[in-house]
Amino acid sequence: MTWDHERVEELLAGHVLGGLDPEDADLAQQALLEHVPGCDRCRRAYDDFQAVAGDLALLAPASEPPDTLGARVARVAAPSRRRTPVLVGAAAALIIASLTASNLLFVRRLSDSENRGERMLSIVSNLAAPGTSVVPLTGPGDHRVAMIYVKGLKRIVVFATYLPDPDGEYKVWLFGPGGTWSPGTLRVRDDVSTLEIPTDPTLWQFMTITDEPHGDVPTPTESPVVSASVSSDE
Amino acid sequence: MVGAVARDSPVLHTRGVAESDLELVRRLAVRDQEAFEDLYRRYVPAAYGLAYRVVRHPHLAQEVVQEAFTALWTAPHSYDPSRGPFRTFFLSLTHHRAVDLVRKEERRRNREREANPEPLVDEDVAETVVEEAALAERRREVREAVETLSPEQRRAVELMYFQGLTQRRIAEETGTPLGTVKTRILAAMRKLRERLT
Repeated sequence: MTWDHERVEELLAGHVLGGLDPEDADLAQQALLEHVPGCDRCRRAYDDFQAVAGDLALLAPASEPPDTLGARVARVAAPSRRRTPVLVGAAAALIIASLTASNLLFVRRLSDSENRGERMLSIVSNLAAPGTSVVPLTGPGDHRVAMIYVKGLKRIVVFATYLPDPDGEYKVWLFGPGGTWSPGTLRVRDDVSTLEIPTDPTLWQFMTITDEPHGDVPTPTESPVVSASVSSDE
Repeated sequence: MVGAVARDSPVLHTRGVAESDLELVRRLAVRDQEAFEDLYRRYVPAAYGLAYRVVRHPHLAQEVVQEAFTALWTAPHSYDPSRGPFRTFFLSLTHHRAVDLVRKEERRRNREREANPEPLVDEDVAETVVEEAALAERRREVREAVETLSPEQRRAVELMYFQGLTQRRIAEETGTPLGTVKTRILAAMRKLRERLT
């Protein structure tokens, strides 16, 4: 696809303000993947627009919140008595309490299981659990990849079946308002590959996987193998 | 407790020097609660003011801000310092959360907006908190920059940023062609970029 800088900047301006309609939002994500990283003009515009969008927040008058908010937020960072590091503080505990036992079991099984059959069984048997979102990642090839997140849990699990051997390594990327982050690599082992990402899915707008020949790079250098939007509708 | 010290500003440590946002965010990576509380004190007035401006409900605004701080505590690595200051990252994060929420409640918001239309810049804003000087200065600069926009550009930015409307909804609401809305938003952002970056 050939990108027109003017059109890309128009998309980026709407994107950073959170005001694109769905069709333009998809186009903006495509531009962010395919064009912006390699275009100095559009990358600078994107960074500057993001800065402007952050500054616009200051038009709202600063206001002291009720003290109850301070107490609630303090509990978020309170030391957790739970073993699972992702379950931080009382706020998370409240969320967890509302989850079904099967959801929790699912995530823990994915964490713990080393056995290929057990991993596969965990995935398949819990796809229909309440609160679980399964989002296929699509691309030009025939890769079978999906991400799973469970409502309320600060964790994304990426899984793939029968991945071909990469030229380099399958690097997972997340794109959000704060920038780009690679939480790790999807390693090809057995028939099922999984990567657990300890992050809040609502922080991110887009996930993509690239086959990176040179390993540790700060931003994607190759075209996406597969990609998908991360739903913010938690 | 965070709430008990929320009015102290700026954040001073034993060396008598306020730590940079970046230092504090780095400390979050090792689960440093004091750093988290320092960032809370520093940014909660701006974040709460923003959330309240968008969602127009104190309880919902608290939900938004709590979510934003929870996200920060859970995933401090999502902030990439090379992309700009922490302030813009965190307030953008808060804004996204607020807009997500407001879209879910769009019907209720429509009724309130019709009853209470607002300008982009509050002319007689009485700040209810004392902010750090740098943040207060930046606030002044942003207001001045917004004053350079045309009324139509300001209105478009207001509807999109603070009311959470998409471009198509702005076009419907203002009776303006969609292409014109897009052009206005781009022109406004370019003008603000010139003044602010």
